Amino acid sequence: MSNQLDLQMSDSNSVPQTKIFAFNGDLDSTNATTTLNTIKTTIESGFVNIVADFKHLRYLNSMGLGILIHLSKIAKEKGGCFRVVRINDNILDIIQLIGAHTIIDIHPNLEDALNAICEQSAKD
Amino acid sequence: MKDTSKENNYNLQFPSDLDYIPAMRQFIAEVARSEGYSTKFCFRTEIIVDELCTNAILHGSKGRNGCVILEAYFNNDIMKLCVKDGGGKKVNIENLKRAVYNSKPTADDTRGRGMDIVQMLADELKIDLDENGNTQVNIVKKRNMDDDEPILKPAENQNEGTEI
Repeated sequence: MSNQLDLQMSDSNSVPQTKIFAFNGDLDSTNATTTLNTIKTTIESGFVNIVADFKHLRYLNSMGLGILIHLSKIAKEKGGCFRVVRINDNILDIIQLIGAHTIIDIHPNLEDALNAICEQSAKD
Repeated sequence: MKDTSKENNYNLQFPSDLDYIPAMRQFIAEVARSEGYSTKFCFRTEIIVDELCTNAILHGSKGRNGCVILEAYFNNDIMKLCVKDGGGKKVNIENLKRAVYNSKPTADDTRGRGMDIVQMLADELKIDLDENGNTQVNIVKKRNMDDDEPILKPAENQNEGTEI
């Protein structure tokens, strides 16, 4: 039994090596490891740019926060990035409280995150 | 206007298993909401309950009957929470105190920040043994006038129709 978290993956047709994960529900100790493994596998298969859409993510605890930081590190090691979009105020509050907003790239919307990936790819 | 002159106490006992935590944390947050606390206070309460219970399950002893006890007390503008596990050994208390008071996780640490978050969100935090020798963590959280202060966000431009 794990807490309800629905994770939907989709392609970005406009940006190569990029996948978008839409989170729906709560990311916590009951599903953090599964979530980590799913996205990690995607990064290791060559989709090194990940955009996490948090529009429908209601809740995040310290273990969930830990996997976001971990995924950010993995993506960077592979030459890509991990970006979060459409985050709710309560989750952003906790991320800012512990200073993790300096590690995790946060964008207001998908378009902004995808543009940032394109700019980063152009520089590299 | 909610009558806050009465005390409301809740005493929950559940198996020492992470799968029970979502229901427990959501219940206490819902009680806080019904007591008239702000959305931000309730969300922070949910996180505190989650982290305390997770800590009790992952690092506490299964104890006598493998249960975690969660007590919540609401009165006027104060919420008190107490989480007990079956620890009760001096080494458990010392390890927990060290984790809370000496651990200084950096922004890029991926683990070990649960109790650190609790310490930041609570007004008071105390770790000791109860009368039956169980490890207990007590926190006090007060209603603050700045609970609903706006949170700094990246520039809002929610473009729902982005072509991807």
